[in-house]
Amino acid sequence: MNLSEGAPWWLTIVLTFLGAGIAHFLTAYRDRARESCGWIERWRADAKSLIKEIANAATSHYLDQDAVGRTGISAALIINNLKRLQGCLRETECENASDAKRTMDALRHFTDTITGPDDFQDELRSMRPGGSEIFRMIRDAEAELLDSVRMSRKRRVDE
Amino acid sequence: MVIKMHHAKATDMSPPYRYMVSKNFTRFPGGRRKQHGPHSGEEFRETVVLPLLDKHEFVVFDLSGSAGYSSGFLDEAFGELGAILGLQEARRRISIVADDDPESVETAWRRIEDAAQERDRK
Repeated sequence: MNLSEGAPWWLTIVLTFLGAGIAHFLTAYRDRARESCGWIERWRADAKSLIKEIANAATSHYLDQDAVGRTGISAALIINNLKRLQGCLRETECENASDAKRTMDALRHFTDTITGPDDFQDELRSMRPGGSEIFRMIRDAEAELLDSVRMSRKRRVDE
Repeated sequence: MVIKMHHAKATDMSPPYRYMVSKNFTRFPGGRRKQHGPHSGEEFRETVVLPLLDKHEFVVFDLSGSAGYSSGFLDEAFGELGAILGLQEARRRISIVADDDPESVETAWRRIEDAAQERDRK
Protein backbone atom coordinates (compact mmCIF):
# COMPACT_ATOMS: atom_id res chain seq x y z
CA MET A 1 0.00 0.00 0.00
CA ASN A 2 1.34 3.40 -0.94
CA LEU A 3 0.98 5.96 1.84
CA SER A 4 0.22 8.71 -0.62
CA GLU A 5 -2.95 6.85 -1.58
CA GLY A 6 -4.46 7.43 1.94
CA ALA A 7 -6.27 4.92 4.13
CA PRO A 8 -8.08 2.03 2.43
CA TRP A 9 -11.88 2.40 2.23
CA TRP A 10 -12.61 -0.58 4.46
CA LEU A 11 -10.57 0.93 7.31
CA THR A 12 -13.14 3.73 7.60
CA ILE A 13 -15.88 1.14 8.17
CA VAL A 14 -13.81 -0.90 10.63
CA LEU A 15 -12.84 2.19 12.65
CA THR A 16 -16.48 3.35 12.76
CA PHE A 17 -17.66 0.02 14.18
CA LEU A 18 -14.65 -0.21 16.55
CA GLY A 19 -15.38 3.28 17.88
CA ALA A 20 -19.06 2.45 18.38
CA GLY A 21 -18.11 -0.80 20.16
CA ILE A 22 -15.73 0.96 22.54
CA ALA A 23 -18.29 3.68 23.30
CA HIS A 24 -20.94 1.05 24.00
CA PHE A 25 -18.58 -0.91 26.28
CA LEU A 26 -17.55 2.19 28.24
CA THR A 27 -21.16 3.30 28.71
CA ALA A 28 -22.20 -0.14 29.94
CA TYR A 29 -19.18 -0.28 32.25
CA ARG A 30 -19.98 3.14 33.73
CA ASP A 31 -23.65 2.17 34.26
CA ARG A 32 -22.65 -1.06 35.99
CA ALA A 33 -20.18 0.77 38.26
CA ARG A 34 -22.82 3.38 39.14
CA GLU A 35 -25.43 0.72 39.83
CA SER A 36 -23.04 -1.31 41.97
CA CYS A 37 -22.04 1.77 43.97
CA GLY A 38 -25.72 2.61 44.52
CA TRP A 39 -26.44 -0.94 45.64
CA ILE A 40 -23.64 -0.86 48.23
CA GLU A 41 -24.90 2.45 49.61
CA ARG A 42 -28.44 1.07 49.93
CA TRP A 43 -27.04 -2.09 51.54
CA ARG A 44 -25.00 -0.01 54.00
CA ALA A 45 -28.06 2.05 54.97
CA ASP A 46 -30.12 -1.16 55.50
CA ALA A 47 -27.38 -2.78 57.58
CA LYS A 48 -26.93 0.31 59.77
CA SER A 49 -30.66 0.63 60.30
CA LEU A 50 -30.96 -3.04 61.27
CA ILE A 51 -28.03 -2.83 63.71
CA LYS A 52 -29.56 0.23 65.38
CA GLU A 53 -32.98 -1.46 65.52
CA ILE A 54 -31.48 -4.53 67.22
CA ALA A 55 -29.46 -2.45 69.69
CA ASN A 56 -32.55 -0.41 70.61
CA ALA A 57 -34.69 -3.54 70.93
CA ALA A 58 -32.01 -5.16 73.13
CA THR A 59 -31.88 -2.09 75.37
CA SER A 60 -35.68 -2.15 75.72
CA HIS A 61 -35.57 -5.91 76.29
CA TYR A 62 -33.50 -5.44 79.46
CA LEU A 63 -34.91 -2.08 80.55
CA ASP A 64 -38.58 -1.99 79.61
CA GLN A 65 -41.13 -3.54 81.97
CA ASP A 66 -43.38 -4.48 79.02
CA ALA A 67 -40.58 -6.42 77.37
CA VAL A 68 -39.83 -8.17 80.64
CA GLY A 69 -43.48 -9.24 80.75
CA ARG A 70 -43.22 -10.83 77.30
CA THR A 71 -39.66 -12.09 77.41
CA GLY A 72 -40.22 -14.96 74.98
CA ILE A 73 -41.56 -12.77 72.18
CA SER A 74 -39.08 -9.97 72.75
CA ALA A 75 -36.12 -12.39 72.73
CA ALA A 76 -37.43 -14.23 69.66
CA LEU A 77 -37.71 -10.95 67.72
CA ILE A 78 -34.15 -9.99 68.62
CA ILE A 79 -32.79 -13.42 67.65
CA ASN A 80 -34.72 -13.29 64.38
CA ASN A 81 -33.30 -9.85 63.58
CA LEU A 82 -29.79 -11.03 64.45
CA LYS A 83 -30.25 -13.84 61.96
CA ARG A 84 -31.44 -11.32 59.35
CA LEU A 85 -28.39 -9.19 60.09
CA GLN A 86 -26.13 -12.20 59.64
CA GLY A 87 -27.66 -12.77 56.19
CA CYS A 88 -27.40 -9.09 55.35
CA LEU A 89 -23.68 -8.96 56.23
CA ARG A 90 -23.04 -11.99 54.06
CA GLU A 91 -24.48 -10.23 51.01
CA THR A 92 -21.23 -8.30 50.69
CA GLU A 93 -17.56 -9.07 51.03
CA CYS A 94 -14.83 -6.81 52.32
CA GLU A 95 -12.12 -5.86 49.89
CA ASN A 96 -9.60 -6.51 52.65
CA ALA A 97 -9.53 -9.93 54.39
CA SER A 98 -8.69 -8.47 57.80
CA ASP A 99 -11.77 -6.22 57.55
CA ALA A 100 -13.93 -9.30 56.89
CA LYS A 101 -12.61 -10.95 60.05
CA ARG A 102 -13.18 -7.73 62.00
CA THR A 103 -16.80 -7.63 60.81
CA MET A 104 -17.54 -11.22 61.82
CA ASP A 105 -15.81 -10.70 65.19
CA ALA A 106 -17.91 -7.58 65.74
CA LEU A 107 -21.10 -9.47 64.83
CA ARG A 108 -20.24 -12.27 67.29
CA HIS A 109 -19.44 -9.76 70.01
CA PHE A 110 -22.73 -7.94 69.36
CA THR A 111 -24.70 -11.22 69.45
CA ASP A 112 -22.92 -12.50 72.57
CA THR A 113 -23.39 -9.21 74.40
CA ILE A 114 -27.14 -9.23 73.76
CA THR A 115 -28.07 -12.92 73.89
CA GLY A 116 -25.34 -14.28 76.16
CA PRO A 117 -26.57 -13.11 79.60
CA ASP A 118 -28.39 -15.72 81.68
CA ASP A 119 -31.53 -13.62 81.95
CA PHE A 120 -31.92 -13.02 78.17
CA GLN A 121 -34.65 -15.66 77.82
CA ASP A 122 -35.43 -16.14 81.50
CA GLU A 123 -39.19 -15.87 81.75
CA LEU A 124 -38.93 -15.05 85.44
CA ARG A 125 -36.35 -12.29 85.05
CA SER A 126 -36.66 -8.80 86.43
CA MET A 127 -35.90 -5.47 84.81
CA ARG A 128 -32.24 -4.37 84.81
CA PRO A 129 -31.44 -1.11 86.64
CA GLY A 130 -30.85 1.89 84.35
CA GLY A 131 -27.14 2.09 85.22
CA SER A 132 -26.48 -1.57 84.40
CA GLU A 133 -23.20 -2.26 82.64
CA ILE A 134 -25.00 -4.17 79.88
CA PHE A 135 -26.37 -1.00 78.27
CA ARG A 136 -22.88 0.45 77.80
CA MET A 137 -21.71 -2.91 76.45
CA ILE A 138 -24.57 -3.04 73.93
CA ARG A 139 -23.79 0.49 72.70
CA ASP A 140 -20.05 -0.31 72.46
CA ALA A 141 -20.75 -3.49 70.49
CA GLU A 142 -23.18 -1.56 68.26
CA ALA A 143 -20.55 1.13 67.56
CA GLU A 144 -17.95 -1.53 66.74
CA LEU A 145 -20.31 -3.22 64.28
CA LEU A 146 -21.35 0.08 62.67
CA ASP A 147 -17.67 0.89 62.16
CA SER A 148 -17.10 -2.41 60.42
CA VAL A 149 -20.05 -1.81 58.07
CA ARG A 150 -18.38 1.43 56.89
CA MET A 151 -15.37 -0.49 55.54
CA SER A 152 -14.82 -0.83 51.82
CA ARG A 153 -17.02 -3.60 50.41
CA LYS A 154 -18.37 -5.07 47.25
CA ARG A 155 -21.43 -7.12 46.44
CA ARG A 156 -20.86 -10.83 46.96
CA VAL A 157 -21.31 -12.87 43.81
CA ASP A 158 -22.14 -16.49 44.62
CA GLU A 159 -20.50 -19.03 42.38
CA MET B 1 -23.91 -39.35 82.60
CA VAL B 2 -20.81 -41.15 81.41
CA ILE B 3 -19.78 -40.58 77.83
CA LYS B 4 -17.97 -43.45 76.13
CA MET B 5 -14.39 -42.48 75.50
CA HIS B 6 -13.09 -45.78 74.17
CA HIS B 7 -14.83 -47.69 71.44
CA ALA B 8 -14.27 -50.92 69.61
CA LYS B 9 -13.10 -50.70 66.03
CA ALA B 10 -16.43 -52.00 64.82
CA THR B 11 -18.29 -48.97 66.24
CA ASP B 12 -15.73 -46.64 64.65
CA MET B 13 -17.08 -47.76 61.31
CA SER B 14 -20.73 -47.10 62.19
CA PRO B 15 -22.41 -44.43 60.08
CA PRO B 16 -22.85 -40.97 61.62
CA TYR B 17 -26.14 -40.28 63.36
CA ARG B 18 -27.82 -37.10 62.13
CA TYR B 19 -29.98 -35.12 64.55
CA MET B 20 -32.04 -32.23 63.23
CA VAL B 21 -32.77 -29.82 66.07
CA SER B 22 -35.68 -28.01 64.39
CA LYS B 23 -37.47 -31.29 63.61
CA ASN B 24 -36.68 -33.36 66.67
CA PHE B 25 -36.28 -30.82 69.47
CA THR B 26 -37.81 -27.44 68.67
CA ARG B 27 -37.94 -24.74 66.03
CA PHE B 28 -37.79 -22.13 68.81
CA PRO B 29 -34.81 -22.83 71.05
CA GLY B 30 -35.03 -21.26 74.49
CA GLY B 31 -32.53 -19.76 76.90
CA ARG B 32 -29.55 -21.05 78.78
CA ARG B 33 -30.91 -23.05 81.70
CA LYS B 34 -33.99 -25.17 82.36
CA GLN B 35 -35.20 -22.68 84.96
CA HIS B 36 -35.34 -20.02 82.19
CA GLY B 37 -38.12 -21.80 80.34
CA PRO B 38 -38.74 -24.65 77.88
CA HIS B 39 -36.27 -25.89 75.26
CA SER B 40 -33.23 -24.48 77.01
CA GLY B 41 -29.63 -25.28 76.16
CA GLU B 42 -29.26 -27.19 79.40
CA GLU B 43 -32.32 -29.32 78.59
CA PHE B 44 -30.97 -29.96 75.10
CA ARG B 45 -27.59 -31.03 76.43
CA GLU B 46 -29.04 -33.33 79.08
CA THR B 47 -31.85 -34.92 77.09
CA VAL B 48 -30.37 -34.95 73.60
CA VAL B 49 -26.63 -34.32 73.27
CA LEU B 50 -25.26 -36.52 76.03
CA PRO B 51 -27.64 -39.49 75.45
CA LEU B 52 -26.87 -39.39 71.70
CA LEU B 53 -23.14 -39.36 72.34
CA ASP B 54 -23.62 -42.27 74.70
CA LYS B 55 -25.29 -44.29 71.94
CA HIS B 56 -23.46 -43.20 68.82
CA GLU B 57 -19.85 -42.87 67.91
CA PHE B 58 -20.34 -39.87 65.68
CA VAL B 59 -23.26 -37.44 65.76
CA VAL B 60 -24.08 -34.66 63.32
CA PHE B 61 -26.13 -31.88 64.91
CA ASP B 62 -28.02 -29.98 62.25
CA LEU B 63 -29.07 -26.54 63.50
CA SER B 64 -30.81 -25.55 60.25
CA GLY B 65 -34.42 -24.47 60.10
CA SER B 66 -34.83 -23.02 63.57
CA ALA B 67 -35.86 -19.47 64.41
CA GLY B 68 -32.34 -18.79 65.72
CA TYR B 69 -30.11 -19.59 68.67
CA SER B 70 -29.01 -17.35 71.51
CA SER B 71 -25.37 -17.46 72.60
CA GLY B 72 -26.60 -18.69 76.00
CA PHE B 73 -28.34 -21.71 74.45
CA LEU B 74 -25.30 -22.64 72.35
CA ASP B 75 -22.93 -22.17 75.26
CA GLU B 76 -24.96 -24.40 77.53
CA ALA B 77 -25.84 -27.01 74.89
CA PHE B 78 -22.42 -27.52 73.35
CA GLY B 79 -19.84 -25.64 75.43
CA GLU B 80 -19.88 -28.25 78.17
CA LEU B 81 -18.74 -30.89 75.65
CA GLY B 82 -15.34 -29.22 75.56
CA ALA B 83 -15.05 -29.80 79.29
CA ILE B 84 -16.37 -33.37 79.15
CA LEU B 85 -14.68 -34.66 76.00
CA GLY B 86 -11.83 -32.26 75.34
CA LEU B 87 -11.44 -30.50 72.00
CA GLN B 88 -9.83 -33.32 70.03
CA GLU B 89 -12.39 -35.90 71.12
CA ALA B 90 -15.24 -33.46 70.49
CA ARG B 91 -13.94 -32.85 66.95
CA ARG B 92 -13.67 -36.58 66.40
CA ARG B 93 -17.17 -37.36 67.63
CA ILE B 94 -19.40 -34.50 66.63
CA SER B 95 -20.12 -32.28 63.70
CA ILE B 96 -22.32 -29.18 63.88
CA VAL B 97 -23.86 -27.88 60.68
CA ALA B 98 -26.43 -25.23 59.73
CA ASP B 99 -27.19 -24.23 56.15
CA ASP B 100 -28.96 -21.05 57.17
CA ASP B 101 -27.03 -20.10 60.29
CA PRO B 102 -23.26 -20.51 59.98
CA GLU B 103 -22.68 -18.04 62.81
CA SER B 104 -24.32 -20.40 65.30
CA VAL B 105 -21.98 -23.18 64.22
CA GLU B 106 -19.00 -20.87 64.77
CA THR B 107 -20.31 -19.84 68.18
CA ALA B 108 -20.93 -23.44 69.28
CA TRP B 109 -17.39 -24.50 68.34
CA ARG B 110 -15.90 -21.42 69.96
CA ARG B 111 -17.66 -22.34 73.21
CA ILE B 112 -16.41 -25.92 72.97
CA GLU B 113 -12.86 -24.65 72.44
CA ASP B 114 -13.11 -22.25 75.37
CA ALA B 115 -14.37 -24.98 77.69
CA ALA B 116 -11.67 -27.37 76.49
CA GLN B 117 -8.98 -24.77 77.13
CA GLU B 118 -10.41 -24.16 80.57
CA ARG B 119 -10.28 -27.91 81.24
CA ASP B 120 -6.64 -28.11 80.07
CA ARG B 121 -5.64 -25.26 82.36
CA LYS B 122 -7.02 -27.10 85.42
